[in-house]
Amino acid sequence: MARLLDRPARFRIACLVALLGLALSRPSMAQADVVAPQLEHDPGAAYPRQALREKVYQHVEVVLILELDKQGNVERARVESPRGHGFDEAALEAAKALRFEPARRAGAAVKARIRFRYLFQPPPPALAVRVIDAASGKPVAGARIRVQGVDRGQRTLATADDGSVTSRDLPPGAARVWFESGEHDAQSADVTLVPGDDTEVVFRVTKPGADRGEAPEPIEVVVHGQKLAPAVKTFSREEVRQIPGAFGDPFRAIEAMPGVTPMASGLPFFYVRGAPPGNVGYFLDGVRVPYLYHVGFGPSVVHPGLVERVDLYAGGYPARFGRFAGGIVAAETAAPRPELHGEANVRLFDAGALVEAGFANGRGTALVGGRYSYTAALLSLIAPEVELAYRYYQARVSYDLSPRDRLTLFSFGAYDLLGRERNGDLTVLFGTEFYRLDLRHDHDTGHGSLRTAFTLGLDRTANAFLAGEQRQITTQILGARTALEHRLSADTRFRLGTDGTVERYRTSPAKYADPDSPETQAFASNFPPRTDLAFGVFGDLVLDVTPGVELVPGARVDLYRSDSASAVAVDPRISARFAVSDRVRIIHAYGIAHQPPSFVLPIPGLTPGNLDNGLQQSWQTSAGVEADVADATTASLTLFYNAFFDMTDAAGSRTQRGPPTEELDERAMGQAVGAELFVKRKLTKQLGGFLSYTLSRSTRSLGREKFPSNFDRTHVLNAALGYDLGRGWRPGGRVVFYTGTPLEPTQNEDASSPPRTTSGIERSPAFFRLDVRLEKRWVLGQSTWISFVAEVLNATLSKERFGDEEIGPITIPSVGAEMGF
Amino acid sequence: MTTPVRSLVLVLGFAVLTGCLPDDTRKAPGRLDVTVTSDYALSPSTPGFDTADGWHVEYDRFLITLGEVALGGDDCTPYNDTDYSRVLDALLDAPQKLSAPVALGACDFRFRMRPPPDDAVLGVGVTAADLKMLREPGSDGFAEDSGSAVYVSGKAQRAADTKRFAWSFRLGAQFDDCKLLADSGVSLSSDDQQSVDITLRSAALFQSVPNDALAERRFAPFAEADDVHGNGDGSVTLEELASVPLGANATFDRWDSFADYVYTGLVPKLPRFRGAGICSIGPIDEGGHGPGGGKH
Repeated sequence: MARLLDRPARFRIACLVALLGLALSRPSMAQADVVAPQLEHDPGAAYPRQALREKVYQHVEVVLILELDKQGNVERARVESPRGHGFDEAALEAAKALRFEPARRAGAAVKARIRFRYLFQPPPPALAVRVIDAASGKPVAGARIRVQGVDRGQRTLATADDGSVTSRDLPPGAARVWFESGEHDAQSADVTLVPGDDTEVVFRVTKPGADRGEAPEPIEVVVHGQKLAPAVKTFSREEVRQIPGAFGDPFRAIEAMPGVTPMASGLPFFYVRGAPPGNVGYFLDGVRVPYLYHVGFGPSVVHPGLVERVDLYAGGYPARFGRFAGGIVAAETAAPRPELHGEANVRLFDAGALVEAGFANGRGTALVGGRYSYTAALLSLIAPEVELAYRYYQARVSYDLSPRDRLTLFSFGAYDLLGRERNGDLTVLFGTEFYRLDLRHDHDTGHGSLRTAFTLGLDRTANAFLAGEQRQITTQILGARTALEHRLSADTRFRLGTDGTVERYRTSPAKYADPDSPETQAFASNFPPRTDLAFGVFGDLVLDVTPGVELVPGARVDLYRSDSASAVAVDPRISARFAVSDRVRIIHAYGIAHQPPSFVLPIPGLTPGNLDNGLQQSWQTSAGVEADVADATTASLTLFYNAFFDMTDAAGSRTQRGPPTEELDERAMGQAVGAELFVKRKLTKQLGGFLSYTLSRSTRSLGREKFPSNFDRTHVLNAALGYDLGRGWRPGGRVVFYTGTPLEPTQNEDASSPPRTTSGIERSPAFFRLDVRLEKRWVLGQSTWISFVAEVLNATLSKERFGDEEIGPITIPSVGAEMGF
Repeated sequence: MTTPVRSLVLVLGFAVLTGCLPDDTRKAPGRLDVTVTSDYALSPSTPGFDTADGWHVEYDRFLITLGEVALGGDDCTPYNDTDYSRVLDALLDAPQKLSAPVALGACDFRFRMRPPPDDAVLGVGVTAADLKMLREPGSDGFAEDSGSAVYVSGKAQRAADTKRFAWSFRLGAQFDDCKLLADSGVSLSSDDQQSVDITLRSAALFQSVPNDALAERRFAPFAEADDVHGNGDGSVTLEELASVPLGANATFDRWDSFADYVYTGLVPKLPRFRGAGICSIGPIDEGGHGPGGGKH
């Protein structure tokens, strides 16, 4: 081959080979001539709104592949690995505005392809504080504001001339805000700071010893996004203190709410939209409470200072509430506060106190509270053989394991005794006690919350003639529950949970009962020693379908087992709130609820064990309108219809001919229909009050007869007004009026007359009473106050008639002193 | 003690401070066995009894509802509740349990006779059909739409004359402060065991006068009710008894008619506390002890 090429050809080939070799062997030499593009202009990328709506508060890196032209502009961009939640879109949009010094090769601008990283950091929350002098309404400039965030760091701010200050360097999460001033009373507020959200705190402050002598008004804290579930009525702690006849007890406020029909004046047992007292569940922080009041007419079993608010679900309640076929009364305790604070009161019959303080530099809190009655000492002066005593306690310890984890140990209990002493022997006519120990862990997941809790409980009732003799019935309780709340998106939250209980029922041995007595036999049949199990799973979605439309569909499934009997219940629930305008909302609530057989009244330990005959069932429907009528005033009108199946309502169900139904395993059907009107202006305002009116009809069906419930009352009205006169004086009054219950059939009935219908029924006379309250408060120092409170339930000394029997007047006076610090 | 432990003690300790319901530490009571014994079987060998006017009366069925025994009073502490009724066959020839009250102290004794409730205990020989019959509401001149406290049916014979009867007495009665001696009811001490028997005086319906010591058994007024004042069909009814005039005797001033005398005067004499005891008899007082009406 080579002999075929002449010398010049061989040289040219050799150069080509050499050049090729050089070309191949000198790439670095080629890249060394390329200059990468240099960033000239980067306006940055905003944290995407979608991520904020979806509660994604994280550092997120988005890597883009950018193709640059010869001018250094971004021709094309794509995401290397999608991150979702709007981050990709935000990065791509921001990339359009990037400008680069173009890449160069050998000095000439060339196109380039590069990787570019965006690092998104969640925007800090904004805390805006305003301080206003309550007396003049003017802003307070130079006010010292101290803020402690979840990082435990303290920041001190000062309000500007307009009385406001804003901080944006606080970490998201729980924060406490203090207003401190030498001229005004100090205040504080707890808030939750959310990235990208604005939280506003308004302090309306007063000067110590101001002319009006009033205590600081409740703080208004505007927290975006907080709202109550549909179809719930609520009173706050401060409002309950002002309700005449409630004696400051949050649970007593329930009887003033619409849909609530009292059995008798002053008694803590009521029907809720036709559901009997044994079908109404009472909860404190999710822990079931067996009864509300001491010895019937006494104060409630929880210190008022511990209760933040009380909600009444008359029907269609959320899926987390189950195993009760009537209404739900749910109270929430106030959040732990590390600064020392408390309150105390001394009254005619009892004294109570509550104190809370912090430890471990504010990470922990400890609270103790209680009430002790000295009725026994008082009664010994007029009725030496009668012994009456009641008391309760609450104790709580909380500890923040981390900024997102809190452990709480909460214990509470109550004790009641009514007895007769004779010849040195005490006969317990009626005694009850219950204790709860609840250990819970709350975790802030960042997208919601998770609670895990365990509960131990003991319920006990003693009665002189329970089962024909003095006996005790005891229930030992072990419970566990979990509740997860998670935000799926800006418009969707889901809630999921489980709860289970094991309840062991025991009775003291029979020593004196006549074995032939039907009462003794019925007791043994209805309340056998046994162990009951219940386990439930629940879930619901909170959907913001469109702005102003909230839909909450849900369901729960419960499994019951009592000895050899078992039952399964499926409870679908749905509620909805439609905002017709900024001030008007339409509320709907529908649901099915099941419950094991229940006793006539909620009494600890007295739960029938007749699961063989199945569960009670209620179908609950309601629809209504609520409106923000004026400043701090709301009004609502609700129509409801409830249907009950297999009810154990021995008090409300009876035939028109025979004796009162006392068989606890006798089941009745029932229904209740009515309308509720509720108008409320916050009782904490200078002029505050409410009007609660219920028009209803409640019937029962037993066999082929249909008749009004024994405690059917057509009209129930509660109206209260309170007025702040200034200088710490606040009088108030409440009117209670309700029409009578159906009279029992008399012996004069003709046996041949046809069965009664629900019309033309004679009723007992209507009842009216007036409760009054007067408070005078003095403010001492920055946060200490003392009040004198005089209150009378049934100041009109009204008597109540049931059939041929007139009872009363049941009038409960209360005079005492209260203080807070 | 570290703060968390101290806090835990605080939480748990309060449960103890609140207190627990007291156990039953009362002194041991005494027990009382209350029985009912009919004197019908104490008659001569042939069932029934003879009257002074020559009639022989036999019962086919004699049901009575007694019960709601209560021990009470200021010096008495009852330990149980025996507030129930029992339907008894008064023709049974053995003592029957009525109830078993338990108490301590000097106690007043009370019981009632009235139409049975649906949860009445059935005595020996009493069936559910009997209970249903007794609870069937009815009306007469003394009670409206009421069941029967006492039901008797039977016949009386004299020579060839036979009269049948079937009466439901619907009015109840309450027997308070029953005593045997002048001033003692029932006194029970600790661990005491006593018994009280209530005699069913089966012939009491035919007493000629209210005074037990002076009374004879007479059937003639009943026969006259059918023969003279009734339809003569051989069946004596309560309506026919109402037509029989009472004697012009101050003894009967309290009653309007013979039926009234039998219904309200003699029926309450059927049960007798401890055979010869005395009770204060009156209408049923649901609130407690009733006002004294008549006495044995």
